[in-house]
Amino acid sequence: MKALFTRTLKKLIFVGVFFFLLVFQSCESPIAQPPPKDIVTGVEVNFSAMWDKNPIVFLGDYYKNNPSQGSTAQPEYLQFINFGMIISKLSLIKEDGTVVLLGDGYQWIDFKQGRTRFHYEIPKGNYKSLQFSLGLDYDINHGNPNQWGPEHPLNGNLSGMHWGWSGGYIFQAIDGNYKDSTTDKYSKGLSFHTAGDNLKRNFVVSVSNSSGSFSVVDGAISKVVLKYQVDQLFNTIELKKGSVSHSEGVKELQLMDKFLSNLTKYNAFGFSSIP
Amino acid sequence: MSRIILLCLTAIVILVGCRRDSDLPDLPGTKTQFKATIVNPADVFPESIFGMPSLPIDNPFTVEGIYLGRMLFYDPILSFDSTISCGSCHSQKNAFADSKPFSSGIYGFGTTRNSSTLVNLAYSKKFFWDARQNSLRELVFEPIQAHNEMAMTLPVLSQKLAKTPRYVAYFDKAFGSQPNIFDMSKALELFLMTLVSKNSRFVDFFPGKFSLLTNAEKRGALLFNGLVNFDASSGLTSGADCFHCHGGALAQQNNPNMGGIANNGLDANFIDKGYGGITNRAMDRGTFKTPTLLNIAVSGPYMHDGRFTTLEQVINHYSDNVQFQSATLNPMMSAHSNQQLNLSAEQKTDLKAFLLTMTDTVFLRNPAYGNPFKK
Repeated sequence: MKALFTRTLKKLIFVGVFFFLLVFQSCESPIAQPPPKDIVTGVEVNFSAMWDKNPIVFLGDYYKNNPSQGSTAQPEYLQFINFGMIISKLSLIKEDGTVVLLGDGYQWIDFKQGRTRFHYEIPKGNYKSLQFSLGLDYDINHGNPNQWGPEHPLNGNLSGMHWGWSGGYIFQAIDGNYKDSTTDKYSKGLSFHTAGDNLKRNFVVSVSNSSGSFSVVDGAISKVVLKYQVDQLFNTIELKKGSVSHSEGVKELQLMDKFLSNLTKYNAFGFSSIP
Repeated sequence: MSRIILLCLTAIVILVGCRRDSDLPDLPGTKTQFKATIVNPADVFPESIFGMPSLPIDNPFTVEGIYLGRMLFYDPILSFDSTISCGSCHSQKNAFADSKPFSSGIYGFGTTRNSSTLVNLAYSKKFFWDARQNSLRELVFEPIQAHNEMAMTLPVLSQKLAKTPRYVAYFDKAFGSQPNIFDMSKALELFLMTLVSKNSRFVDFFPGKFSLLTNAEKRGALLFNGLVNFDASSGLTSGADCFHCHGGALAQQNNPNMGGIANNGLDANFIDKGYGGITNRAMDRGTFKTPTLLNIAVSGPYMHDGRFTTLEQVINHYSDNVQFQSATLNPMMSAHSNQQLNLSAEQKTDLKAFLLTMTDTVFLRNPAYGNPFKK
């Protein structure tokens, strides 16, 4: 009886293993997909929104106009909920002055969604600076947003940074909340939407390492990090006096102009990591 | 003896494993007989109005695939007891929403959120009120399997489809396959993507053709697209700032951070966590996907819980009843010193007049979207 049981068990195991092998072997192996076109020689540009020395954390607490650091403006706390930018003419400049456009020069950066890192194929050489415009030229700004493919940075449905018939693209959108003291709740909103042809701003950011340049060599991708010091953008801004600007009307335009002026006044852009 | 059997079986296993696909025998309805009629996406999507959406590369538009999807959409055999179809809760005359706050599934089970409209879905990247789904193709499995909706299991559904002669024929025509749930979801994806609403007076107006509007509609358009700006003497705002979350020709915002997923101040305390229930992040509690306003006049009741039955109630909410103490209120709503808009009666009427321009009767009556089983 025991021998019969053992033989039956052996047969069952044998048949089980056989069918397992049969099914396993018959499974279709995945079709090898060709790898995406690799950039052999190029650059990775990573935009990093910073508050002081750290990358911004959305809904984190940020303190500005600190009296202990000599600020005479109203101290306030703020938190970020949204932060996006539309830039154009994104280029690197070689030591000999040659301007190398990165892609078609347009980019939509969304810090909250982590859309900050971009790869470009560029010629080898030594590059001394990066330049871009925050915003767009008139023709593009007021052109048909449907002309761009579904994944193009200027596709309005993709970025949500187009204002429809009422007027072109939003060049920069920052939304969040603020409060006056640590004991308050974040119950007041802030919303700074930069738009309009007169508010386009151009920036050139020089490489600040000892050689004054970084190299792109054959067969490698150089990585650079462009810091955006958002604390400098809000430097001396008193949200209690104005926490909303959609770049319309005299008061809001003045506020937006002051806001944007801080970018150059306090050198808000700089490289943090150069190979 | 057993060793010989073992060797033979091992050889069979190896042979089966090494056989190339081309050695497989042809089955009835396999791709050797399959030739579907390709539809040019440019004939489906109005590029000049909305631009082109990002389309799945592995699911080309075909006449047969779209029709199969339409049949499946309206066929109650997709539900456990063959009583409920997708079309039961997504009625064409209501812009593919339900006229009830909460829909009924099989055996009268109730749903917990209002049925969303199905309009211009190809342009969306997030689906459901809580924005939990990123893919139309995967989305279709949720109501089919939900216990309080169609309560179907996929193996049983696969068998039901395989036993239905029209599906044996149409899966073959559309995909060169026998009925299966994967091609079923592709067919439904195709049909859902073709639900394009592009013929409203709003869409015609959209590039800014004010001459197409009545005076009341023009005033409504300016309110809709104007920023909040209170006049010191009258106390009235010149703009209601609807466009941030319902902007563009699609009357919706697809970027979740720009108002595409937002808390619009319905509740101070959240009964339904919405997107926050998916992400488990405090910042997302009480936020929901912002719906398109196209065909808003026929898609009520409104909001994720269908709490408002009329457009007047919706406008009153945004004008007078925004809950500013709501912790995750969208900053574009709270940025104006937490002040209610307090629209005048005339402004509310004008705003409603503009919203009514978003009705697309061609879409609502398009026979290509209707129930193919109705005669």
